[in-house]
Amino acid sequence: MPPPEDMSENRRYRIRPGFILREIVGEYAIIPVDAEGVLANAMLSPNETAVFLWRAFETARTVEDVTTLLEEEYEAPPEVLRQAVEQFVQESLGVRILEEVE
Amino acid sequence: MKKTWEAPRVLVQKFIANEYVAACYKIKCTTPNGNSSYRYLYDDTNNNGVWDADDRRIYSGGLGGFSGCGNWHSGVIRDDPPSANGFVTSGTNPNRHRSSAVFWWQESFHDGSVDYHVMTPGDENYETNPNAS
Repeated sequence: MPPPEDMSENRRYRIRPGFILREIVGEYAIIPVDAEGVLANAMLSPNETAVFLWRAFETARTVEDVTTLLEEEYEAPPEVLRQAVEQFVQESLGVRILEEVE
Repeated sequence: MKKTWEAPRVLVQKFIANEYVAACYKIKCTTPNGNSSYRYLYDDTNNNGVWDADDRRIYSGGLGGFSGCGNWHSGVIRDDPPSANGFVTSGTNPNRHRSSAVFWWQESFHDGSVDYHVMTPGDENYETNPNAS
């Protein structure tokens, strides 16, 4: 397992090219087009909040940016939302869904 | 009004490739021993590699006998390369008549008739032919 990512405030992340998000009859599916490793020959089924995070990171944003977006949309303590964003970033970097943007 | 928070989850569904592949072969129809003539074709029904009383007779060449047609047949689809699955024989008695192992297959025609072919086992009598099927 890679070491925890240093998610300092100015680091921006973005969904890597090669993923297609589709809504199919109210359900969402993410299809990796040319993924390798654990995502090869796979389809991802995100829940609603994961879709929100996915769409938020389709534009290069910091953890802080996305936490703010979540706070505007969802009823939950800020620290819970921030932790969720950090976890999403950490895990998505690990399977090369996210990339850090200069 | 803000939405109720639910922890983000992503379910990953993996698709496992089906590695079962049937290949297409090009096979030469020829009987053993220089395409010599035989009288009967038997299936090795009990799969023991020996012509015996349990094997089913598939074809009789009559008094004139038969040999391989000598042609290469394209589009024979199989899971494995062709290997012996039957016998051509000079008679019907396993204890008295001579036999040779063959790979046999059949080709069906639109009018319902069936044509039988045999291959002498050996790499020189078949090759993969992926574009034929």
